[in-house]
Amino acid sequence: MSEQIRQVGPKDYLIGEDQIVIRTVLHSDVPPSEIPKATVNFLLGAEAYFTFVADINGKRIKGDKYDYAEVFDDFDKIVDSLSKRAKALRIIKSPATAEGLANEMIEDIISLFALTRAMLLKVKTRLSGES
Amino acid sequence: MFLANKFLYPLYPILKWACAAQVSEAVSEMAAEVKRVLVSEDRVNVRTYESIDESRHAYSADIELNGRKVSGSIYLPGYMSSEQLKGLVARIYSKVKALSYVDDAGAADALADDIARDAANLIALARALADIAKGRKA
Repeated sequence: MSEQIRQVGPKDYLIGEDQIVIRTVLHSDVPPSEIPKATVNFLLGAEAYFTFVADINGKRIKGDKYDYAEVFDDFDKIVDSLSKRAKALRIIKSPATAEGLANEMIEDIISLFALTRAMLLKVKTRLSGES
Repeated sequence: MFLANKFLYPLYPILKWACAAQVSEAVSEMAAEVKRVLVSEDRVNVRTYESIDESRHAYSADIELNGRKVSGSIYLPGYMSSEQLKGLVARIYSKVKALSYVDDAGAADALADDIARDAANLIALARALADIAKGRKA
């Protein structure tokens, strides 16, 4: 990473360094080899949900269960939560609350990552079912 | 029927227990069949900077997504930063919507990576907003 970091000018101050690893996992009673062949409707009748595990600056968090069929609705909820927290951050005056709120926003952003990957898998599953 | 009831009724708690045990055994067998598949592993490194000189106060970021450098936008302080964040969130939302209708696997991959880059930028914006909030006087 250090090779790609730009030269920091004399008046540039590092205010945050975030190292994050997000692992998105699909839990399904359909065998993994059959998932690409399965259509969305087939999976709807099966047990299928996503979770994620993330390491944020060395701290591990576990994400909620996202139902396979409702990934897009979960996006709605995360985007809404993110907007509300950003709005609150605009008026907050306590440094500790601001830090806590920013960390919560980052957890929401990590959920966005996981949901994007989940959505991508759903799209590819749909496409392979159509072909 | 009466006789059957007479003999079976005292056995009811035992029968109920036996049925419940069988059901819970079946449920745990089903749970054992649920497989876990790693869908993706994303590595994100974000360094957020505050830049101050005589003429401006801004934020910028060095972002790496899965080993690749991503361009980090310049964030202006105060109201502008939260406007940028609102815009970025709206952009992500519209891309996610587009992703659900994409009909080409390559395009879907590209769009998902694009969303991931925007999300990485959001991390820097969240840090910038928190920094602005910390400097706000109570």
